[in-house]
Amino acid sequence: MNFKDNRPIYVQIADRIGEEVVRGVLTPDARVPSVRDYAARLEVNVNTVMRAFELLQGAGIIYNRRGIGYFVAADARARVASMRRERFLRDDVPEFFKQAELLGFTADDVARLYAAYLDDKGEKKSE
Amino acid sequence: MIEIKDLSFGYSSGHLLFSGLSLELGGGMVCGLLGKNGVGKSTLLHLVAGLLCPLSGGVAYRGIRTFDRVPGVLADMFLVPEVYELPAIKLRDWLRAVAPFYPRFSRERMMSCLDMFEVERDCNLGSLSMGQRKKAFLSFALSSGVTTLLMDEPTNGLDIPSKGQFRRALAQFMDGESCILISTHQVADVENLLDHVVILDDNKVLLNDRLTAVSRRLSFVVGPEVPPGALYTQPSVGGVAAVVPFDGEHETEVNLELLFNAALSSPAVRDILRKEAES
Amino acid sequence: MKQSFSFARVWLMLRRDGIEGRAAWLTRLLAIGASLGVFGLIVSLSHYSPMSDAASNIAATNDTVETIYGIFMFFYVAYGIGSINNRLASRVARTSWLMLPATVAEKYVYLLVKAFVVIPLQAVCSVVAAEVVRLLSYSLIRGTETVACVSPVMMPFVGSWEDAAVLMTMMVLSFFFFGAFLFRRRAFFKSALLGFVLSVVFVLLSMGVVMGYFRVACDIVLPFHGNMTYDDTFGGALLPEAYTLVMMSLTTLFFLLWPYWRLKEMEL
Repeated sequence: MNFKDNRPIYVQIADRIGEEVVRGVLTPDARVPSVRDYAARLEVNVNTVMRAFELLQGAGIIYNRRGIGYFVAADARARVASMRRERFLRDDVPEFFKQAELLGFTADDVARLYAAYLDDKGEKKSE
Repeated sequence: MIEIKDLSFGYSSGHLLFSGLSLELGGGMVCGLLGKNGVGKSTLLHLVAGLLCPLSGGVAYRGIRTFDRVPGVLADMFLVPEVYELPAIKLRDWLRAVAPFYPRFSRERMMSCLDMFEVERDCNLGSLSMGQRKKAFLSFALSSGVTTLLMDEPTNGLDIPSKGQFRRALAQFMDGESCILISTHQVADVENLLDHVVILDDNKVLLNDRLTAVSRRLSFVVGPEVPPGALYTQPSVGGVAAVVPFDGEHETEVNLELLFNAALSSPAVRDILRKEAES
Repeated sequence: MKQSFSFARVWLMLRRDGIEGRAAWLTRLLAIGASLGVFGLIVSLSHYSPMSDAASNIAATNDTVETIYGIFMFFYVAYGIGSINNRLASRVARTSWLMLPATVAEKYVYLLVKAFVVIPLQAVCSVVAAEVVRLLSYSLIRGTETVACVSPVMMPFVGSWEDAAVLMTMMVLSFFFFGAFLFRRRAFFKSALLGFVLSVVFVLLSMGVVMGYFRVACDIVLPFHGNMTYDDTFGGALLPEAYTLVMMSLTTLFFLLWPYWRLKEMEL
């Protein structure tokens, strides 16, 4: 796995696991592969994966059963969605707004562009 | 676990490589040893392994002088040198000859490492290519049951797939107690495996700390222009790569190449790193 | 962290030697055995004279062959001991040797056993192989009369060797052992050269050739020199007196013990 993105690797790993939850690869109450398995697969330090697991545990996406391993929470999908929303609002949105302001877009411009985008997608879906 | 205190060493009496060097490394880490050519990385590894005798000062492993060459220490530490030789006999026979010296050697581990490295279990060491021989030797190192692995340029001579195999094998080797010390210039080969870094420059230890600690003090960014407050910059494909103080919120992954260059050329960065070591 | 002496580890080192060098040793045994045997055979055949009786033929043969084998064994063992550290000339070999988990004492004992047990045994094996080749081919060529030909191989060990001769041999062999640790490269040849120079110096000193300046030194170190006349032959100068025996033993001990220190201090 190539970690070219600037976010810390453990965040990227957590996101990847979140992605697997969303796509249904990891179902609720399913067992998550062990820290060591992930570390070997992704060719990273075991502690890095540990940090990712701690992040996911903190967000309630996975839980730990001592001696057995990590499991996907029942409401994992919802929690992943809310975690992503939070991140989007915290990191991506301010950056976007900063750029928009710099380039001289007004609030109306932004709203209009977004509405147009949603319409477009709706049309494409019905085609 | 590895305690170097006030070490002085040089190959010739006129020129000392180390003078009053002190360094301590504990267990449960994968540590990268970085430094320019000739700074003495290999020499330091050899001193830790007990192959060289310090002129003054001490190099100890778990409190025992490494130069004493106590078998208990030797069987707990394995050195993978940059260059080594293997006899031209069957791997099976070589294992019979050498494995008994390592009481915690695991045959299953050896076989699974060989499989992972795609080295035939029943091969003849004399007929292997350099890369294959290296992987066979690495397999033994990883299954010898030692607590500490000292590696000098381990990825040298490995082809691209082999480097991945090496990383995977190393990721599996790690546990809370083991200490893996990797001296290398090929930082990109092992970057994601390291959790600890030691930077040596001209007889000084510029850095000896966990990478998580570094990423909470410094951030590594790439952008179209020099960011405000940059402590060190260098040109990069994306424009400018810079080292800036951590803003308290946006933690970035440590860029080892950038960190190395910055530590060597920026006193400001060195100050921050030094504060890190003292805290 | 056990540091007590373990014979098991010494044995493991010998075993490792055997495993890693097995192919080379077998080839060497065959080559030496065959060539010596052929040589011995030629000697046996050339000693055969239809005029004298079979017994004297055999006796003459045995004498010569015994001498040849004796010389061969001495040089084989001396060379083997002198070259015992040859592979350590390379850095990579020194690395694996020094990193091998065994105490310095164990490594030292292993080297002693290799030098004074294994290598002589190898020499004996070669000679036995040679004898087999010789006797077999002799009987093939000469027929049944050769059956009486007693193998001289056993003679050097059963015969009468004086204490001094044994001690002398030990001293020379342990000198080569010492030399193997003194020199890093081409130890055997350098030791032989050094040994030759030292012997010449010793002889010159003991014969009082370098008189005057060294007379006092000679009197202290070589008290027996006063017991000889300068007419004595070189052989006479080495008459085993008690003092000489003691000096030779001490020298031998020194040659054997110094390498331990050298091993302890060995660096990459």
